[in-house]
Formats: sequence, C-alpha cells, structure tokens
Amino acid sequence: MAEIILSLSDVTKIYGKGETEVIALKDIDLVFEQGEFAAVVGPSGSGKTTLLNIIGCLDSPTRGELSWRGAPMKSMNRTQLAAYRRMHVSFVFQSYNLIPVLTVAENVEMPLLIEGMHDRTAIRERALSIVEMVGLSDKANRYPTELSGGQEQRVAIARALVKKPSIVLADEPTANLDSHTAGEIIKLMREINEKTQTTFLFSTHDPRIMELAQRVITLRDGQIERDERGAP
Amino acid sequence: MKASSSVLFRIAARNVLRHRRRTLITAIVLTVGIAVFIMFQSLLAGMDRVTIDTAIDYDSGSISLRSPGSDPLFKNIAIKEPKAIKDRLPALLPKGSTWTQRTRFYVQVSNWIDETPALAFAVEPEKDKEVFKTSSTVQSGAWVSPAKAVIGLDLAKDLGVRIGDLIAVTAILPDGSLNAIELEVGGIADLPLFSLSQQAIYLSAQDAEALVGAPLPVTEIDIRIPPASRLDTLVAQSDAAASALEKAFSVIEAMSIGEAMRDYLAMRNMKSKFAYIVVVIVLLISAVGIFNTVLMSMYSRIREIGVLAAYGLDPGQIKRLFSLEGMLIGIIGSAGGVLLGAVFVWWLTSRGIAFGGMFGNLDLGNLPKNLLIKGEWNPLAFIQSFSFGVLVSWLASLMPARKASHIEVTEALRFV
Repeated sequence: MAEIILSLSDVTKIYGKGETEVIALKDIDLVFEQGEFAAVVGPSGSGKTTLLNIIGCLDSPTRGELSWRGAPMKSMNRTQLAAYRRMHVSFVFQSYNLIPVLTVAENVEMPLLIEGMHDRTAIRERALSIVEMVGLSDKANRYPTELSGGQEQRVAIARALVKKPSIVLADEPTANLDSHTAGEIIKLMREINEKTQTTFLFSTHDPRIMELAQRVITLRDGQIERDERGAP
Repeated sequence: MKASSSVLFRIAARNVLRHRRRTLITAIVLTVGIAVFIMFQSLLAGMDRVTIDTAIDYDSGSISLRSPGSDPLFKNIAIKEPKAIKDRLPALLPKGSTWTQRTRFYVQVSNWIDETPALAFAVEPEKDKEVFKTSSTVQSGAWVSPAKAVIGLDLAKDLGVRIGDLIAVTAILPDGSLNAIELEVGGIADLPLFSLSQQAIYLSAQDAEALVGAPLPVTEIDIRIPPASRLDTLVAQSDAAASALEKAFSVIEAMSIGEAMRDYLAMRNMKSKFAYIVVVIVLLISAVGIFNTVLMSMYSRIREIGVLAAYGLDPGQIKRLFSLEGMLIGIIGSAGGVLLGAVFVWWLTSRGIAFGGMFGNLDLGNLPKNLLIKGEWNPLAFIQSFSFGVLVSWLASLMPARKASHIEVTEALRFV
C-alpha cells in the first residue's frame, strides 16, 4: 500500500453567517495516497473548488482537520501555510494564470525561484527539461500571449511539476479547452503521474476525463456521494 | 528555504518595466523635483559663495581685528599697539594666512565745485594686495601710491573726475577741527560692491598721516586665511581662528566673516529651509503618484498575486515585492533627478547665470554689481535628494503593499 500523504477528517466549510450561511462542504473524510490520479466531480456548487482550495491550504476549514503525512495543519499561520504550499503543493488553474511578462521558461522557473533555489543554470536546465516533457521546447522563449489555450495549459502543468511537488491540484484544468486538447492535457497529466508518481487531484465536469481517473470522488451539496476507485 | 530578496527584486523589476509609460510618468515628477532642488541648492550655494567671497576680497577679509565695541563703519577707534599684535599673528593663524592694516575713516571729497561724503581707507599698498583684491579692480590708472588716490567708479562719475584730476579730501580731526589735502586721482576702481564704488577712496598711509596726523591710528587689521573649497568649512575655519585670536588678544575684537555676515547667513539658512520646503512638496506630490501607481499595479495584478501566493510566496514577501516596486520607481526617478541635476549644476558651474543686467544700478547690498552666480557642486544635496526620493517612494508604496499582502488567495484567484 502506498504512503498516505493527505487526510481530511470531518472537514466542514461554511461561508457567511446567519441567513446568508452556505455550507460548501460537510463532514468530509478523505485520504489520499502518494501517486494517486483522482478526479473530483459533481455539479456546479457541489464544493469541488472549495475541497481543492482546502487541500491546497488556500482556504481553511470551518471545522475538521487536515493532516499532511500525519501532521495536523490546523494551528498553522499564513506564513507556515505558504511554506507548506511552497514545498509540497502545485496548482493548475482553469484559466492557466500564467504571468504575462514572463516567457514560457521563466514562468516555469518561477516556483523554483519562490522555493529559494539560487543556481541559475540548474534552474534553467530543470525548467527546460519540464518544458520539453510537455512538448513545448520550441516555445520556451515565447510569451503566454503568443500561445494557444492548450499550450498555455501545458505551460501551467510544467510550472506545477517543475518543483517536484507531492501533489498537483488542478481545478477544472480542461474547462477552457476544446475536447481534443482537453483529452491531450489529461493524457499528459496521466503520463506524468505514472512516470513521476506525483499525486494528481483534479476537478472536472467532463465524463471522458473522469474515465481516465483511477479514483472518482463525487460530491453533491458539499457531501461525498461516492468515492470509487477504478482500474485505469 | 524561501525566495530570496534578489528573486523578489527581479520580479519587481520586471513589473516596473512591464508598464514603462506608467513608471516613466510617475518617476518623471520625482526626477524634475529632485533636479530642481539640486539646481536650486547649487545656485544658493553659488550665491552664498559670491557674497562671502566679495566681502572677504573687498571689505573685511576672512577675519577683521578691531577695537572692542567699535562700530567699524562709524567710529574710528584705534587698535593699541598694532605692531605687537601683527608680530604674534604667525603663531596664531593657519599657515598661508596673510594680513594688512587699514585705517577706515569718513571724509569729504571735493572736485573743487561739488563735495560728497566718502569712506577713506588708508592702506599699505603692497601688503593690501595680499589680503584684498581691490587693486585688481583698478580699471584705469594705477593702484595707490603717495599723493595718488584710487576712487570708486561711481564716486568718480558722481564727481565727474578722471585720471590725473585733482581732488580735495577733508577730514574731521579728533579735536573737532578740519584738515584737507590735495590728491591726484591715480586710479579708478570698478569695485563690485555698490557701497564701495559710490563711496570708497583709497590712499597711502603717508597721505593719511598728512590728513589726520601722525602716527596714523590703525582701525583694523584684516586677515585672509587660506581659502577652503566649501563655504561652510571656510566660515568654520574663520570662526575658529577668530576665536583663538580673541583669546590671545583680550583688548581687541576678532570679527570672523561668519560674524560679519551673520544677518546674511541667517537669511541663507532661511533660503535653504525654503528649498527644503520645495523638495518636500515635490516629494509629497511624487509620493501620491507612487502610491497611486503601486495601487494600480496591485489591482491590475490581483490574480498574479493569487498565483504567487498559491505557489508559496508568503504575505511578508508579497508586501516586500510591492514595496520594492515602489522603491524601484523611486530609484529610477531619483537617479534621473540626480543625473538631470548634475547636468544643471555642470551648466551652472561652467557658465553661471548673469544677474547683473537684471538689476541695473540697484544697490544689491552684499551682492556684487554685475552679479554672475556660478553654481557650486554640493555632494550632500545629491545624496540627500536621492535618499529622500527613494525613502519617500518606499514609504508611499507601503500601504498598497500591505493591502496586497492581505488579499485572500482564493479571492485573488477568482478575481477577473
């Protein structure tokens, strides 16, 4: 059995107060192992993004506990949570969120610089090898505005992978892409998952993408409706 | 490990360069303000220099020894034993100092038709040249010699006399009687101070003795100490030497150039404060601009802040990133100001501004006629204005930077 890297215990997230109170997540218990390729699915408003945000420590649960390799994270302050994200987590966003003034290679280098890596040559070499892995070697010196949506998302994946995170959280990574490109992106993520044993957790509406996931967690009204592990 | 300051600096620099026009417009206010401040300070220093130098060169030297309590312009109180004092000066003054004695007294000068009051200076013709530059202003004729006097250009015009003309000089003697001598106009001096040009008459000690009686009382011993490159140093050196002389000779008063020009120097400090008020106003305007620019930059990059935070940039680093951006704009603006200021000062020091024609025959008090103010290099003004510029920019960016560091990551990532 693979190592458990992340566990959520009785996690509840409530937005607002009184009459405006919205329960985004309710009593979520989940465990993730190293190397999983899991999808979170469900209709809009079911709590997919909230779940990913809490796992990525971008948001904190109202109740319940999140543990990283057995260590509880409840008492961490903003700076400690930033350090957790810096060391263990990467993100792929629906709208790519590349930094427009940086080239492809520089965007990919960014997490390494934030991490505090100093060796410029090593940083560039590592970034270029990841850029090559996502098939954009010839675009390394281009700016995001010169790329197609699919290419931008590949850069975002490269950026997420460059620092060798334990887990990549992807919030609807294919929502802005056509079905063919979306398929390619998910296949790429799956390949990398198999190759590097990086855990991938992504939210999606797309049934074809769900088919590629090893595990599908279905949310409805903030609660886990199903948690199925499959073969792919 | 986390991102080092150099990484934050690189990201900040990229962002500053990303909006070149915005950065340039913000920085340009700072540039112009700092350049004007530096130029203003240079001009003020140049004006001070020309004023003090004129006083030293033509009126009182760096230090003037007089009898205590005497008003040098209106009472002629003789210094007791001037020779004994002069003999001790070499041991008390900085090396390279020179001195001369003068007798200053009021006279009436007549061209035999009209008569006008004048201020006579009995001088040691050769020694006087070591302290004063009066002899070099003689535009026609020659410097003082027995029976030949030098008079100011405006006084000559007033009396309608030329070189070689005879004039009568009348003085009131200590017993109240009058005595007069006849002198030839040996030289006409275009003296830079209006008061001297209109009133001064220079004559030899022998002629003065013939006029007021021997031995000629000495009313002042004027000293020139070696020049200092900076005015403040010169004034300080003159004050220190004067203080040492007063201690050594309790029976005389040593008036330093700083003391002689006390009113002027007080006004100078006021002018300097005014220059600071100008720079504070400019910096405040710049601060508003930088505040606005950093705030705009923050709002236009909220999603980017979200991404950086998601990837582990902590709130303190985000704050540093934005304050660095403000500081960088400050550095660009201030460096531009210092460079532009240096160009202005170079122009001022090499060409100067001629104010003479601007005032015509107006008496400018301590300022010379044909006033040409040349700028002075003042490294402190460069350092101060650059530092203030950067500091104010940094301070102005702190509030928007703090705001950026407090943005919730999830909200920032949702921001459209």
